[in-house]
Amino acid sequence: MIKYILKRIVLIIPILLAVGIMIFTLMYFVPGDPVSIALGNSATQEEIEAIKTSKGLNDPYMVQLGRYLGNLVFHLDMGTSYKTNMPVSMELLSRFPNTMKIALSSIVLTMLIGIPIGIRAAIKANTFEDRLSMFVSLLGTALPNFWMALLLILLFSVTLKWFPSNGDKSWKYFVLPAISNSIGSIAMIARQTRASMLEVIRSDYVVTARAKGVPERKVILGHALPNALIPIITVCGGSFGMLLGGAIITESVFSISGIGTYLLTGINSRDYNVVQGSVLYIAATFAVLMLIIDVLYAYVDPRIKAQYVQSGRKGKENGKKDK
Amino acid sequence: MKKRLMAILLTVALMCSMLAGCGSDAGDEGKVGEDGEKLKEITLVNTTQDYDGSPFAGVSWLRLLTRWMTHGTLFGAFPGATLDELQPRIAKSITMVDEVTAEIELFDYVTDSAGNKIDAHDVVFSYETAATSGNFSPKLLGSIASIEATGDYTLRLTAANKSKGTMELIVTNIPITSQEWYEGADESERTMNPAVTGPYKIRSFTSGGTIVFEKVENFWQTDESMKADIDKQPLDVINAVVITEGSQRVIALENQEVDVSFVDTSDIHRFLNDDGTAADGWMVKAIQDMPQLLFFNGSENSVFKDNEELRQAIAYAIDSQAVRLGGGVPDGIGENVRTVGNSTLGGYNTQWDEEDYYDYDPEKAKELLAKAGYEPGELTLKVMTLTNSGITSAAAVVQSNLSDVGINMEINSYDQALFNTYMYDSTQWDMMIYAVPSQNGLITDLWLNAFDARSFEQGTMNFVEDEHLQELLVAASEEFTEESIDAFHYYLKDQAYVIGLYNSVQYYAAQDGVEEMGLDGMQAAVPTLYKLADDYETVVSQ
Amino acid sequence: MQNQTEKFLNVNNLVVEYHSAGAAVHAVNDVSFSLEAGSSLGLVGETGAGKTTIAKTIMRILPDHAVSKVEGEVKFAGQDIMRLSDKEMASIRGKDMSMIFQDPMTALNPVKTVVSQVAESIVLHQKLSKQESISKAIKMLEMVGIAADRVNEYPHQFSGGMKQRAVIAIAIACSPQLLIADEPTTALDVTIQAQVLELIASLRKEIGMAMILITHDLGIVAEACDNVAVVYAGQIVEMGSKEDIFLRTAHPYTKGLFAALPDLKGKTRKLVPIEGLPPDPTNLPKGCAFSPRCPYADEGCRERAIDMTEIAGGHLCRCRKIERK
Repeated sequence: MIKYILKRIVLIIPILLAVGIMIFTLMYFVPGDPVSIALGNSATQEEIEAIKTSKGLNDPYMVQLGRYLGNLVFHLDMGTSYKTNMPVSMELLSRFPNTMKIALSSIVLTMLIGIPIGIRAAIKANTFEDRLSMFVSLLGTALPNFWMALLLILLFSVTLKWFPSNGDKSWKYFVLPAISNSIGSIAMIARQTRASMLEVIRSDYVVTARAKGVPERKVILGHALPNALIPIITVCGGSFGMLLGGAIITESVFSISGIGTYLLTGINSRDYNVVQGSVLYIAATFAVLMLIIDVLYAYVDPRIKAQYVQSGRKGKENGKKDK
Repeated sequence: MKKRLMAILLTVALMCSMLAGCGSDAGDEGKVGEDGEKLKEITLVNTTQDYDGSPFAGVSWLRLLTRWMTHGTLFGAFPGATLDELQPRIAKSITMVDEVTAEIELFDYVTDSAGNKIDAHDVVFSYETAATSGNFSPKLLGSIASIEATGDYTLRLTAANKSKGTMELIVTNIPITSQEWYEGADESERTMNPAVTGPYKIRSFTSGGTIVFEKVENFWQTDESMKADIDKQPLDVINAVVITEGSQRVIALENQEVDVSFVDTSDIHRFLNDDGTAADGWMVKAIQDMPQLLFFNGSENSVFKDNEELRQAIAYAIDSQAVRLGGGVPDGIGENVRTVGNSTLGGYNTQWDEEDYYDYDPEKAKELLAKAGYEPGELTLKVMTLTNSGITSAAAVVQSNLSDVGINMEINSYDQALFNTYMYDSTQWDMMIYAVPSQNGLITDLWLNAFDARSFEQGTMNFVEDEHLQELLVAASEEFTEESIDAFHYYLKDQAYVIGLYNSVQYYAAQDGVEEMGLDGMQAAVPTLYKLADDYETVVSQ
Repeated sequence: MQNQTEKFLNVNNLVVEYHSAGAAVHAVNDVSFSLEAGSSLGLVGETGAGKTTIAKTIMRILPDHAVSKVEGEVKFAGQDIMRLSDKEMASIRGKDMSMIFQDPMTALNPVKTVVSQVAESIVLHQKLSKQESISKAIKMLEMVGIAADRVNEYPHQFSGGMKQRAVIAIAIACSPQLLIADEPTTALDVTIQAQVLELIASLRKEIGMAMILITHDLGIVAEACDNVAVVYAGQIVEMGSKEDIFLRTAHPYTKGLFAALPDLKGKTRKLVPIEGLPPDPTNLPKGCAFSPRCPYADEGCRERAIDMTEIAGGHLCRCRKIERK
């Protein structure tokens, strides 16, 4: 199992390299550059070109790419922001916790609220309660997260004055962002959980469990749910990607200084190093997260664990094969 | 089941530890000053997430608002100030020895907030460093021919051209810093905690977040009579919080989370009464922006090349008042534009207000369109704008005006980056709505920025090659007489290469404890120029 | 039947209806039978006859969402278990009566170890400590022929035969008085089949369990059952001792079943199936359910429902024609 995990961690490196090259190339070909933005109003084209050349922005593609990758790989240096001259890695590090706070609290909320709703809907399938909760969750996926955020602010911040409307100073500031960010994924998880559970509840081993005299509650939570978890975990993983991305919008609305807003500002001012660095950071987070999800699978389903162990051992016979 | 519980608990624990880490409030410092009195504090809004405190930092929203609050310059300006009206800051006096050369004397007791003494060599260093930083307008830098220290506290400064207003620009727009400190400091110190020659320094700096400024105790200029307005210290602490969303800024103001904020044109009505005055409890500041201009593409392939009638037809088709209202500028605050420029600029001739400036006349427009050789419905033109909502609404009004006379118009809105790229590409637009600034408050500067063929690869900003225009332009900017200015204005009006559309306005809304917001030479509402009520108190509860 | 109240298990007038796609499915139509303690009853019939439904009804593990009607009485060890609350029933299931299912491949929970699944029963009903339950579970598994060094594995690591044995271990873990085996060997190959049957037989002897064995295989019935009930279209059409059914076959359907068996001794050229198909349970015939296919049927058979009549002591048959004989 450990071997499998190590292999996966090592695999992250070429993934990040590929992401780095892709985003660099994309930014290279997108029109606009940081110097024109900064000085566009007050300088002639010639002058702008001169400054660009002095900053190395007119060098050929391969030269610039090589320079960027070289710094990245050998010095672990993501460059500096054209605007602020501060090292990108330092700025990312200081903003990363904020984005993670939103994303993590969103995913916890998603699981804590979404899964029980789904389980309940599955148990009470086709009753009014089930239909109601599925309708509400449909609304949740359909309504835009941005709009919900503003509604929440109007209600909880302006009218009730329970929470501040923007900023990121203490935990209070993260409540509304976490809620608004999670609404879509809570809905998605609830639906997925319901579907998974419905499938599992009809399984034979659930009947066996009942036949053993296991109390209904334990049948649902102890026998059915663990088996339903695989697709649920998959959706949670995909959700996290959505939550991480959604966190960007949420950060904008609530003025939380995180990677999302850093990325947005960087895009608007074509601050290449900022955009590249942020994308790499997000890609790395995602890759690590996917690994965690895959490891979680192994804990939930021993069949998958066996697969991993096998692939980790690479060809060595699994001694405990069937007779 | 147990394992899953463990996984969840682990996640929650991780999350809590992260949150716990940021439990402490940023502004924990005492709210009470040394003499026991409550500190005068204000919270204003930064609309973007970037800010760099270094003397030679690049432009950002907050930077434009606060640069002269933190950094000193030779002299301080206000809108339309001429050389003799400038206020001494680091420099005590200035004397022009000839048309382009000035002799400047500094105060001999200037120190920065870290105690370093500032002398003429530091000034020369500052100018040279600004030139190589890549963050200052090449036009500005290009207008400085030379600067040298002639003594410990004296300088000789030579401008590169005779245009009016150049010297004023040169002496009020370059920050002065101590060479010793600057060379000894590392990048992060320069950005986050610079030694400053201005009245405020940075107390705390959160990248992408709140910046807190506090007044410099023992500011070097102890002689109140000599202090420039911009060096005043009406507040003890200034907090700049980041709110990037327009609607959030409105909410923050109404929720009493900030004292002052920039407000989008589309939202300002919430703070105004029907008659345009500020609503109860609020103060609204309207700052006249540079006029939005309509440029006609004058390049070879353009329909406008050598077709004066077409340009004039469009000019008459446009109802400027409607465009202005569409752009979000109500009556009483905005004015209609009567030239390429507006009346706040030095050199504006009020005579022009009496004259026709393509006043709305759709019948005449149709006539001219026919003379230009086009049938109604035949032409489709592309207009390019920034994505600012006021401008795009204004463009929509223009579109409707033009369709009334039989010209179809497509609106393409781009973000700043793309716009700057396409601006120089004559194939990307037929017309462009854009505001060209004047950097020294003079109308001739605006004209130079738009038309000076020496600055562009091909003719003017809109690719017009007209030698006569250039001649008149140079004459107007160098002579700066009523005749030369009129000459340019009338020729430009006849040719209609560019016409003025409307003046956009920038709004700030503040709690009524802020009675007035003064402006610096570039029309920035610097906090040191705020006029506060006697009983001013911040509305933000901590 | 005489002495009904004394019997170990009495099923009286059981009716079960499902609803599916708007139609009512008459799965069980007035079934009555009884079982003595320690004896075994074979429920024989085609697929879809309603045998599994009868079994699940006794266990009260029918899928609630699909069932629209359950009527009748099931007296088990003196009490009518149809009247018990869910909780009370749960304490009987697994302890006093348990069930083995048809498909061993899916009957075990894939994410739990085999030993834990056996131990769960024990913990639930016998109030032993966790340690004790595990060791008892291991003993049970050994009893069914699963080595102690394999008990901590997961179901996917077991073969089909081993899985079924594990299922049996779970069923007998608390020494129930009644075992219901629903086609326990159908999914297994023949050699394993014999092993499993043998195992069940020896366990029965050891524990003294009564058994209801559901199957469509008459051969198994001959080997494992004392009494037989033939089920057709949700009704019992013939019931009696093994000898009664095999040697003194009465009902035309039962006769047809036997006739359809390949005879190794004689020279059978072609197999003799029963003509026609079983009736659609949403639309049962008015009279005798078998009448459309019965070679002896006449108008009287098709008109009204037929009652069970006793032919000889303990041998019952639901056919008018028998009276005539």
